Amino acid sequence: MKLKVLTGVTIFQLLLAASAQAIPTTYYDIDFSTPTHNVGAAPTTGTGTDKVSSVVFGQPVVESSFGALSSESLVFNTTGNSQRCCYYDQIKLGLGKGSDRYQVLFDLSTENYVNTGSGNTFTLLFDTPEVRNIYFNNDGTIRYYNTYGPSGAIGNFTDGSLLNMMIDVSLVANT
Amino acid sequence: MNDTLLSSSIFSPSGNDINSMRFSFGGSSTTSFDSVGLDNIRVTNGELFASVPEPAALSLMLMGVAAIRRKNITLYCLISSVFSGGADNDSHAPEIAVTAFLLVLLRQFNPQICWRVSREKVRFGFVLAITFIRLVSMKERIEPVANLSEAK
Repeated sequence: MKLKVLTGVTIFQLLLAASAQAIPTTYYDIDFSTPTHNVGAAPTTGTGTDKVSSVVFGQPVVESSFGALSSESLVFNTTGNSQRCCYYDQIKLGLGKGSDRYQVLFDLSTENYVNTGSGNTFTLLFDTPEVRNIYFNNDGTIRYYNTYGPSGAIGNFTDGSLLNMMIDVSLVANT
Repeated sequence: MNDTLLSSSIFSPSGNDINSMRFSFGGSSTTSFDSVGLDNIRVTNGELFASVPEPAALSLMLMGVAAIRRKNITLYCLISSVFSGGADNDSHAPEIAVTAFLLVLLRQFNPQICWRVSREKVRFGFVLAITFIRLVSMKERIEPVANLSEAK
């Protein structure tokens, strides 16, 4: 009798732990499609998982497609960004969810950027609040930067190519 | 294009939460001919990568149950630690260790206290519900891995 009860409890606890592990909590899922976002306009901002938290600088615009990105995409350029404060196009996604781990996926494509004399850099900044950055440099290299730790190259890319980026951050394991 | 899974210690030794992330394009002096497109941003709490394959996880769970049936707590803990898996740093070892400890305690006390209702029906219901949830969630877990393969 006791053994059966123990087995039942074990099954329940093991399956519960396993299922809790399997279901991801989605903080953001943004594909810049309508009706949330509109082609020709700035990305819609707000608190939903399908919205950008804010446009910090510049005027990034949603376009119907871009380069290797076949569906609605957010396009960054510095055209019209004339003031020094706003040389950048920059969007922000608020986090601070208290998670041990964040996994970030996004698709990226560039045009007239690699080895063209571009004066710009595309950067993914993680505010921890110490800065951890991933740079997509205009020489076609992808590099990571840690203020107090190692930095280095992790890959390469070319104009017109589709980059499926996946970044797995474990704050527990410090990776 | 080569895919790279960043595994360096980029986040050490801060230990702080990530307050925000920003996508930024620009420089100290700008050029107008270059541009970058961004799409399909997805941020989760880290369960998108399949860690332990489903059949393997299920097998380990069943082995764990079998260990309990044989009253072999040591074997159960060993299997549980394998199940929790260190390869992806996704450790559930503490939870499982606590579970094992509670099971040891339950052996010392009257377990019927925790199981007054029709246990067979409840057990079947839980197994059915959790199995369904796991099957649904498998799609979520497998898709990104497929994307990685396609990109290669």
